[in-house]
Amino acid sequence: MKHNKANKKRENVLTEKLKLLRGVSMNEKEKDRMSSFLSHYVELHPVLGEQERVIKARKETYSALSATFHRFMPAFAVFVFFIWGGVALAGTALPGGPLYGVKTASENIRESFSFNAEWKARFEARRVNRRLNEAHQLLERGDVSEKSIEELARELQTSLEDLDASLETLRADGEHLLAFEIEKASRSSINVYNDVFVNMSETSEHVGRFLTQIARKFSLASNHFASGTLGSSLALESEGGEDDQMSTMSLLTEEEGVDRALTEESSDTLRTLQSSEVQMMTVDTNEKSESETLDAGSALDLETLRLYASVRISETKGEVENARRLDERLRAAFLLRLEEARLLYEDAVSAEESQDESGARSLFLESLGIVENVRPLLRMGTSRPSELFISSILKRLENKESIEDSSILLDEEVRGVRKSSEEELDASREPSKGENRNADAEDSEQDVEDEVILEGVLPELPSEIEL
Amino acid sequence: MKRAEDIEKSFNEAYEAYSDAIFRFCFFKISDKEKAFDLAQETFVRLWNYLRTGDKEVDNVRAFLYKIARNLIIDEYRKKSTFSLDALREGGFDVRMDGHKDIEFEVDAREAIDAMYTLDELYREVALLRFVEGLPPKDIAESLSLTENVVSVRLNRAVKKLRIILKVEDETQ
Repeated sequence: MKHNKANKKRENVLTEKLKLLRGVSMNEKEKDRMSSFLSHYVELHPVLGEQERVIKARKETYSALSATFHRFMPAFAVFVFFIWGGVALAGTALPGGPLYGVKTASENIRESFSFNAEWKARFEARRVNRRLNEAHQLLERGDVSEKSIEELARELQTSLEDLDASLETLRADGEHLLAFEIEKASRSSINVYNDVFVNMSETSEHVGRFLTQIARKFSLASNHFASGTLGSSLALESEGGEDDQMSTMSLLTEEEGVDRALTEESSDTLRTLQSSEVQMMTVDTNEKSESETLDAGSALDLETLRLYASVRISETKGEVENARRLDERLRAAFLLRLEEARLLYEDAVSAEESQDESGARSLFLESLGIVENVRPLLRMGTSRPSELFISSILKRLENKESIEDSSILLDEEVRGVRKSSEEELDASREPSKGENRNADAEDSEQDVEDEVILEGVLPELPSEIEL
Repeated sequence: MKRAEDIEKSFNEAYEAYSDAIFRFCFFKISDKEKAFDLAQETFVRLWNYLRTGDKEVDNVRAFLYKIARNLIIDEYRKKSTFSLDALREGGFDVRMDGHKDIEFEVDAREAIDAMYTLDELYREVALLRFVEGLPPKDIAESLSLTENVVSVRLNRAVKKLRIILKVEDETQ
């Protein structure tokens, strides 16, 4: 208690002493000076009105934002520089490369800013084109790794799906013509690359391997490739399974053959194809039925490539019987494809009659697509027994510009092929008569009308569908 | 929203009541009379700019003024890192005696000022606000943006030191 009292007393003494410091203050002159300054200031800066207050608030907000911007400006500049640099570098990246992810990500960002349906569809078409170009570049470089194929297949599939979706949106908006144009352009681009791949596959084992591998990765058979080389692989993969063991086995044996060939440095394309084909034919000796062969027709084009190669190999080896048998299969496959085109055309006409304009266009387009995709493969036909068949088809197909022409031609073509096919069979038994086959085939067009499977002349197409 | 007259009135009241205290606060923090004057004046300019928008209320004007002054002093410290007590003594300062013209008073006042300057700045500002300005610890905490606990600890240490310097022990015995 006593201690507390003493403390209190000491504190009071201390306070009294320190209170003296209150004497430290402004003198009168200084007080007047400050007072006068503040009065003047208050006069010049009166209380704000409503409008001024809003302006001031805006200024303060702007100033705060500006300060923040200036504060982070250097970091932001560095960030932008690296992002911009990364994206610019990634522009030329290829699948499997370290920057390829950046490239596709920047495309996705651009895609997300495509609010216009037409813009989006065109963008997707360009993107598909880019993927094909990347595939081409990869093949040219011979840089075909498992990772790059997987990445390319994935991106290609996504791009095609996106393109389909955007075209659907366009059609839903009533822009049928525009969708048609974009799809046509996209198709022609795909066909160009298809031709390139087909040609490359003849000269490089890498390409054959690539096509087979991408078929394995690509689980969805897109309409765009339905009749193209890639599409054939895809269809083969997706439609194969238990129903089409032969095709799947062929694919497997070819891949194995190619792989084996790749391990032997001295191997060339012929040997690659030969080794694969020998195995394929071993499978064939199990005598698959004709219907099975025809079922595989949906995967015609890759199959066709193999058949061409097989025919050539068999001829080189002098296996006449094998060559003849394979050539027969080849023709059957072509016939099936042309028949498919014709049926699609008929469906298109029916759709047209039932006022389903968009459906009709789509079917017309599909029909044309088959014909267009068969063309480059026909040009490749150099095997002797197939020459007549190919030349007769090419004669018909070349210089024809419209669906109408092609479709009518198809009808006649099938008849011609049928006829020539039969003559070929006879001729192959008598090789010396080969020189006269062309003339025979042309003359026979008038004679085989009763024998054709595909009857009737195709009706005319509506005039607005011109390609 | 407050009327312009009310705002002006509350500003004038604040000036009349706290201009000397703010000047003192600046003076003991910065050790430069002219600078202290400028800082005190700027403190009131800032207060006016705050009040003149008309949509802002200040609950404790005194604490608010100390906060402004303290921030201005910190800015000043950044410009000039140290202030010398010697420079202050050499330059001299005019202490208004409020009628106490006797020498004894002046000697005591000077002793108190010297004692104040021997304290670390952390203790000096709380001692000034507590013993000179008479602010309760709660207001000191608000003015200096500290917790009451920190203020109490600092006050306690400041008192112990001041007692020794000002020889309060001897006088009370």
